[in-house]
Amino acid sequence: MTDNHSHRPEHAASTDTAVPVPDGGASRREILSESQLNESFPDWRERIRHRERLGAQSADTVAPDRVLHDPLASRLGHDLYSHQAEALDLLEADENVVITTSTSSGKTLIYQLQIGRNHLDTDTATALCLFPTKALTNDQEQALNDRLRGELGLDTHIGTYDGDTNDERKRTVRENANVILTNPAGLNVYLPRHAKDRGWHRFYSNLDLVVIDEGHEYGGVMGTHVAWILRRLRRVLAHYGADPQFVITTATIGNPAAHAATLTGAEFSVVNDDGSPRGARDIVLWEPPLDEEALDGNDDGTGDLMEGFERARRSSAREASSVTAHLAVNGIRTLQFTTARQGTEIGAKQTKGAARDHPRDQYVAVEPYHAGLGKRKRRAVENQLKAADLDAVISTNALELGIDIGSVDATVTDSYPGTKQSFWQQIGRAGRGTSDALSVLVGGTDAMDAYILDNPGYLFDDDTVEDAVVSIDNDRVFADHLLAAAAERPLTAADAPYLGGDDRFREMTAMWQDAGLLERSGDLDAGGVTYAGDRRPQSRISLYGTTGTDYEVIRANGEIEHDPVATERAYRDYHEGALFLHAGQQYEVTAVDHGQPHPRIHVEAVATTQYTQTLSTKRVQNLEVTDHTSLADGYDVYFGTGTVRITYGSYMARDYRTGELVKGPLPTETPPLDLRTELLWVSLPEDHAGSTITGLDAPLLEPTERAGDDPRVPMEQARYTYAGGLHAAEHGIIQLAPLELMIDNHDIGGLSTPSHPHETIPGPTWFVHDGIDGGIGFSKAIYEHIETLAARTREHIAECECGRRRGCPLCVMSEDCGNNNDPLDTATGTMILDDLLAAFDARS
Amino acid sequence: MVDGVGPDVLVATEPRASIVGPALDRAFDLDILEVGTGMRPDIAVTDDTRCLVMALPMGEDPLTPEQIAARAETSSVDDDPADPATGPQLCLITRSVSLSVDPYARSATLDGVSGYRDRVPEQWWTARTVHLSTALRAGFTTTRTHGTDGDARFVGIGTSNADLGVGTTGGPTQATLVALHSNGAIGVSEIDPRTFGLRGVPEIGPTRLETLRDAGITTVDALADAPLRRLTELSGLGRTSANTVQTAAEARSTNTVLPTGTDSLSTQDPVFIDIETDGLNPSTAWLIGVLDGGPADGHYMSFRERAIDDGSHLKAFMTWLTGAAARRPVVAWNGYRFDFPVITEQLRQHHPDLVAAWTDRYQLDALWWATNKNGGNAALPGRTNKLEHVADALGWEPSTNGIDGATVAKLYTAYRSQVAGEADAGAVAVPDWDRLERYCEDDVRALATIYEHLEGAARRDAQTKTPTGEHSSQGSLTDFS
Ligand SMILES: [Zn+2]
Ligand SMILES: [Zn+2]
Repeated sequence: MTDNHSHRPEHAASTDTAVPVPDGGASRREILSESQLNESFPDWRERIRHRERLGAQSADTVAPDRVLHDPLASRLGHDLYSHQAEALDLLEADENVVITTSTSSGKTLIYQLQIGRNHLDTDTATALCLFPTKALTNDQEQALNDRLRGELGLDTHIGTYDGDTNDERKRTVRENANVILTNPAGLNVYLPRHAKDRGWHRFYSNLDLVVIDEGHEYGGVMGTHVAWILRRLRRVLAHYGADPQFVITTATIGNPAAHAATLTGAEFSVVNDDGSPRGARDIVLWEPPLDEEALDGNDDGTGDLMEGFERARRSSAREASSVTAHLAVNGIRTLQFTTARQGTEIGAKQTKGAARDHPRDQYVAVEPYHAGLGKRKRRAVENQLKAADLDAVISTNALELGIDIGSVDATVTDSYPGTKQSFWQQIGRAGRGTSDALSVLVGGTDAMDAYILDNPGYLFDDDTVEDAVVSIDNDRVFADHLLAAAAERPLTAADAPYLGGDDRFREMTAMWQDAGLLERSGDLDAGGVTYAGDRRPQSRISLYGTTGTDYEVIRANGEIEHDPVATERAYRDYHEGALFLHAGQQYEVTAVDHGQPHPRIHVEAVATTQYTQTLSTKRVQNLEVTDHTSLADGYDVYFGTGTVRITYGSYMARDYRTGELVKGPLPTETPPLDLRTELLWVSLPEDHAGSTITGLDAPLLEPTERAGDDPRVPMEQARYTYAGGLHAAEHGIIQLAPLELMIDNHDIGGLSTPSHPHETIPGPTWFVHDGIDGGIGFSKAIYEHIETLAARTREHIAECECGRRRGCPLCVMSEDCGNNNDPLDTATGTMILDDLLAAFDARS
Repeated sequence: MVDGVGPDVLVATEPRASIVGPALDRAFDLDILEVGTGMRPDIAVTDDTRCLVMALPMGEDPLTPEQIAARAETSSVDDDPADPATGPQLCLITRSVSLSVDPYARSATLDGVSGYRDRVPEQWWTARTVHLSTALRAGFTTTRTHGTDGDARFVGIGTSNADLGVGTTGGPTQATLVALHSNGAIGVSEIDPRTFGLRGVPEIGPTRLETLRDAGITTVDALADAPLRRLTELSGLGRTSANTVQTAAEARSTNTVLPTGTDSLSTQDPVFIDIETDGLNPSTAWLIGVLDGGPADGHYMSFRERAIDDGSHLKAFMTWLTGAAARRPVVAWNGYRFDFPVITEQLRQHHPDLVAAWTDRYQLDALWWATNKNGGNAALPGRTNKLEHVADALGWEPSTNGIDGATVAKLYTAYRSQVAGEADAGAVAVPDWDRLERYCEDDVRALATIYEHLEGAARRDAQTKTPTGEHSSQGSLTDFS
């Protein structure tokens, strides 16, 4: 996803006609032709749910001398795309700019030229560039050097400064660099050095430009921290009289200006009119077959609810392998992205197997590829792919930014990767330059995949773009960054605009003064307040959580490069006995050490066909309303704060090939977790359960045997059925929320209950809460979009192809459910959502 | 460690309070108090009988003055210990007063004060009484008003469970020294037990400590005297490292500075400086103390700002430095990390035109020269490498007491806040500048004392000297990443 190689306009010669694929001799049209498909997939008609052909687009260009002065204009040697010119004009006019054009549209050229322009104006000018990963930083250092020193012939000193840079090199960079490249975590710890080092002093005093690359990456927990780090940066810079411009590049998001503003606290102009050319592209949405027989006799709630479906649906990974094999056998070099639990190695074997099973029985060369492989091995695969020694590569879905395997003829995506941004990024690996490309999305087994196969317009219409979600409302995170800021410079009243605004800044400062971590005798309005805690508070800020505590992941039998794990996730996903997939490898948690201040998760690489599911119980207390939407007829939606006590008490192990329960429930031995967090709740009228059941024209559901063992599930049929409806509505909204919002729904939780003692809740209700202490803006964003989400969920549940009362993983069943997906009732759930939407409509 | 500090009273705190007594008992004749365990209060009186320390017993029952009188009889207190007017200073220890911090409510509160107040007899709740709590973080001090009772001073001597975010390292407190001064001032500092005895010697970690102990080497003196060959066999150290360890032990054992390297010191007479600021991450250096000459007879000068943050003294200092003291090296303790960059930053703010004259001047961090430059040039005596500890071991004595750098910073900050808050300048309580300047003078004289010894060590190593005159040793800061 490095878009440093902008396409030259003169190459934009492609047309809307099919172009022969270089290696196979067959065109894509032929591969998707009836005869070819008949050979590989006799029932292909049922599997291809949608075909989208995106036509080629020619470049919209501007001569460089219209935007740039000499010598830049003449040295550049090619035209600029219109969006590059627009952004440079805005920067010239002193605006901050956020650029949202497509992957490979040459976004980096914009800040490269701006750095060059600033340098020619003042040769002491400096720029700070922040990248989300080290891999990306290294790529961009090379690209900047090539551009500025090579192509543009400028005498700029460019240096990466991060945890991998040695001390000697760091010193050289601090003292001389015009451009420093680092990541937000690095900036967090380097910031306090501003007053103690003349290199940093020089750098900050002359800072004209701050570049934030891949700005959409900063959402959720990480985004919250980055937003505060950038505010701390701006505050220190203000002290030096530096007020740099910001350039943020991001994937296409629905709210670029707002997102950029929340991240930095500054105002932005948006550049989104893409002037870059692109080749034609075929995108196929492919649905794996559903084995109806396996479902029979499983709708009465007897037996294990998930099991039938896991078995019924041939795993999407296997199906993706068949598609990849079909392409490879036809000479199309293919990159397959997989989310499968089994990992990429087995995926590669499966693809080879599928090629052997192919009517033309052919050997295809396939290799696995993921960040965990190590640089040398990855490089080897990349070279083999370039040299056409490989027919297909199976990669993990979550390939780190900046790790670029190079281009292929086609991509196969096994399961929707969660955001449009990731989807288009994966698609973008197919096709070279402006040549044509083919991509196949093989639908996975959850609600989002099902929704997209039913509504392909979601992917291809421009008016449905997710909003990036970032929040600075978490006071615990703010409190920590306030200490860090105080350690960087004593706090004064003038800092309020950067540090939370006047009230919040003063209250939090007073709190730390009372706690003795800020000097008590200090005064914000007189001389300032100095830091009085233990040295280097910055070094104790974890960007992976909000509580300052995170778990280090340690592998017993080898190395593992795993980000630290926030407490909330450690409790749920990394309890003893839990299985998880990381960088294409399976691991089992062997022990968890909760000891402070350095808790640890010990893991071991394993090979198993199992996965684990954690069960939980939940209680919501101490609700406080901060916002309220009043609907008609006693329906209300609230947003506020509360305490969610979650006990991840037990877990089950299942076989991923069949869904069969292998063992469990087993105890996790994890203590309860109290989250003080943000949440929304939908409050229904007091008699809603009664009126809904009366109006239900389907039979009541029979409680399952499992439900009988669970004291929280009502056993009386009417109440059991209604509880299933509430639970279904809660699940549906959480599962479909990422369609609207760029959020990870693993960090959201829910709870539905027929009653709750809070005064705002006279009858049944369901909660949607942030799964992170203090909140990270997710449930707030859902609250703000609740009507759209409810409408979308209602439509999706009612139209699910399963047609089952108890639902299926494609509509309301969720792997993350702490209650083993019981009870669930799509019929009652649809009625509840209908009532809620009617109350929205009838609102005066 | 206990030996090194020599406290009057020792308070055992959790997590393993009950083993402190048995572990120390035989070695020291010392009162060891434990809070919240017995049925009756645990009492100790300092040797000078001026202070009575009492640990509250378990339960929630109120205390009575009689209980104390009865218990204190065993000690040699002449006055009625229960009488606040005539008795010694009272120091009460509880474990029920704690801090709670709630960032979501943006508040920090002291919990348990009411219950604690109810246990303490009326007449002891005076401004002279000091309340210590083992449930408060060591080093935390606060004054709270309880009802109409007036102010009460609370001092933390344990570990807090409060949510202190990234403001503390979160590790358990090792040991805390609480100093009660006769003028009512309280000094609290943390002591790292690893800096005591053999553990205080560089290169001696827990494993080597164990090995040495098994071989009967239990003190720094014994380590200094052990044959080098034996040491290399025992400790798994190379001969060079063993030599270094032994030199360090000898320096500590004999309270001398010993040469360990071959670098020389400038032949020019240095200028010694020390700055006073507003904290460890300072925004000002309001006082620059300068010593021109030797530790005993050198001339001391104070460059102090005339008005808050006016920077006037910086200019005066630079005028003197570039005039009368032209070309002489500037020496500070820990200067590369603190004094030098702070002054640079201050000059940038107030007199950018003087920055070059300052940064071009040869500056030497005496601590860095001794311990880091080319692997270190001198083994230092003293419990730690703090200026006071090293100078103290070399026989230097301060003229001020009951005050340290952090206290000076606090006094200054409090003054600065007052000045900005009061319209009427006459109403502001002005700190005792004289005392603060004398404290600063103590420090530069301590520095000069050490420097003399460093010079001596450098001369002793004269036969292997390298040429002098390198002027670019500033980039040695270890990077923080
Ligand atoms: Zn379904
Ligand atoms: Zn659920």
